[in-house]
Amino acid sequence: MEKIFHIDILTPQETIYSGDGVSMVAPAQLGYLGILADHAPLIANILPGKITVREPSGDLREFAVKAKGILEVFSNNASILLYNA
Amino acid sequence: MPQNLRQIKNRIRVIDNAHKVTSAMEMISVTKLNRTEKLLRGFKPYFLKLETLFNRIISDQNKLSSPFFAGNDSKDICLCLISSDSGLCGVHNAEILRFAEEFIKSKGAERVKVVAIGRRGLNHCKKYGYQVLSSYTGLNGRYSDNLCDKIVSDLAGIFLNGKAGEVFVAYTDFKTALIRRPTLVKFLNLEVGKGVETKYLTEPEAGEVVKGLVPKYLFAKMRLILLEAFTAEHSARTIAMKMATDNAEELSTKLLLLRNKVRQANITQDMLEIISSAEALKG
Repeated sequence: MEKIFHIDILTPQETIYSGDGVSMVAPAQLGYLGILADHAPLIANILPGKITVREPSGDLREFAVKAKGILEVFSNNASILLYNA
Repeated sequence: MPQNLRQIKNRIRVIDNAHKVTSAMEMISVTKLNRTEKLLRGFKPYFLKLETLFNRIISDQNKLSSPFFAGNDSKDICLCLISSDSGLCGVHNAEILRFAEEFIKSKGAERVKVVAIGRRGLNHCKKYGYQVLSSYTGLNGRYSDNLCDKIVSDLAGIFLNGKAGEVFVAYTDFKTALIRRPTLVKFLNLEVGKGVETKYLTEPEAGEVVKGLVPKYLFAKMRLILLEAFTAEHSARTIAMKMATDNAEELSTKLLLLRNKVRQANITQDMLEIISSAEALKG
């Protein structure tokens, strides 16, 4: 059983994704960044690009994002807050 | 019956017209309310997350100097007063203006400078001779990111230029459609140490992250405040107009009954006159 963690992707208007995931890849300022469960607390700037979430079922969800944002990982909660496009 | 039929008919017509106007205004307010409330509901979870994140990273990095954290020497206070442009919304404006008035009195009127959002607040401040730094009118409770941006940079400018040492915002907090509360929040300077201290890895380095985050946080905070205030305004107006419509309906039904009674009384009166004169002729 792979470890899972909670992922939220929010814009000022709506919640794009809220649910569990096994892994996430997001476009950070210095390059794409992979997150797994039990990641250390992290804050990173997010650039426009493609966010990929692997769900516990094994499905891949991809989000093409046109806005900058900020990523926070804290006690197995990953939140991406996107600024206005 | 003291009133004559024509007067009553006139009153019914006037009230029906008022009824049409208020019910149209009610419908307009309802659509506006729905629109802003949807924006507010979508935004609130986002803001809460951003705020916790912000408080955590700030308490962690409290030595980082962003000019918004350090206070300046100015003893003056800037109050950003959010009211509505037009009336017809019950006690909405009266409440927020009374609330602001109390705040200004407690701080001393000569120290307070006002940034007025909404015509009602602006007129109030002019009437009492408060110092108005800038004003935004003609918004009619319509939110736009552009507007929010302008207000934030305006307030930030006032703070950074040392025109005021602290910036407060007075607005009406929208809790539910029936509960709205005048509220005061401190907008600037930003305070350190409200969150749980957390060691974060950051990318890029922490100073740069905070530098980028502060304006976004201020923007989001103002966006939430504006949305709350506008939603409260629309909901106040919807309720006021609904009550006006209901009253007009009630009045109109009452008058209709009165009209029928008066008409019937007139007919009876006429009949009586005819009958009695016929009786008299018979001799």
